[in-house]
Amino acid sequence: MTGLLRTLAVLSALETVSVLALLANLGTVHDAAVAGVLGPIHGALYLSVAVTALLGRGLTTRTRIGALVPVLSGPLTMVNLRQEARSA
Amino acid sequence: MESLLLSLHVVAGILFVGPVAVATSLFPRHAPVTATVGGAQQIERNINTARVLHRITRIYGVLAIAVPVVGLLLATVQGRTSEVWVVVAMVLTAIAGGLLALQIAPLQQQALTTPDDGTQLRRLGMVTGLFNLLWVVVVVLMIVRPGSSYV
Repeated sequence: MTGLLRTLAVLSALETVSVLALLANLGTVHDAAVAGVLGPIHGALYLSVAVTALLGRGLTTRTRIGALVPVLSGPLTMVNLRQEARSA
Repeated sequence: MESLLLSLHVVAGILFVGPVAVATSLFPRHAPVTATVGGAQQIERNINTARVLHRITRIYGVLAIAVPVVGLLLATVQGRTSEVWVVVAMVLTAIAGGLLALQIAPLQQQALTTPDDGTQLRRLGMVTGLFNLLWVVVVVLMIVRPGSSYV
C-alpha cells in the first residue's frame, strides 16, 4: 500500500466517523453546540478526502468521483480503496 | 487570544508559504533536462540548486500546514466558521495544499530522479502557477472578506 492510499484510508475512516457522529446527534439529542463543533471538523475532513482523491496520482475515476459524494464520500472511499489496494 | 492567533496566522503565512511560492517557481528553471541547451541556460541548470529548492518546498510546505490550522482555530474562536469568505478560503486552501503535496512535490522528485526533455517541467510550471494564483485569491479574500457580518 502506497503512502497516498494509506493517507486516504485514514482520512476516509475519520470522515466516516465524523458523519456518523453528526447523524447520531441529529437523530437523538440534536444539540446545537455539538453540531457546531462537529460540523466544521466533518467539513475539513470531507474537503481533505475530496482533494486528496481528486489530485492524487494513479487513482481510478471511480475512487475520485466517489470521494465527492456528500455524506457517502467516507464509506464509499473506504470501499473503493480496497479495490485500489488489490489492483495495485 | 485573538490577537495572538491572528499574529501567528499572518506570520506563518508570510514566512512559510512565501518561501514555498519562491522555491516552486524557481525549480523548473534549475532542474536538469536531458536535451542539450546552450548559453546562459546551461549554466543556470544545476541539480544541486534544484535539490535545495525541492528541500525548501517540502520542509516549508509541511510547516505551512500551521497556517490553515491556526486560521481554523481563529475562525472558531471568533465564531465565524460558517461565513462565506472563510468557507471559500478553506476550499481554495485545501486545493492549494493538495496541489503542493500530491502534484508539485512528486513532480519535482520525478524531475530530479528521471529528467526528460523538459515536458514534465512545463507541466510542473503550470501547476506551480496555479498554486501561486490560489494563494493570491485566498489573500485577497482575507482582506476583502465578502459576506462578513462585521468588519
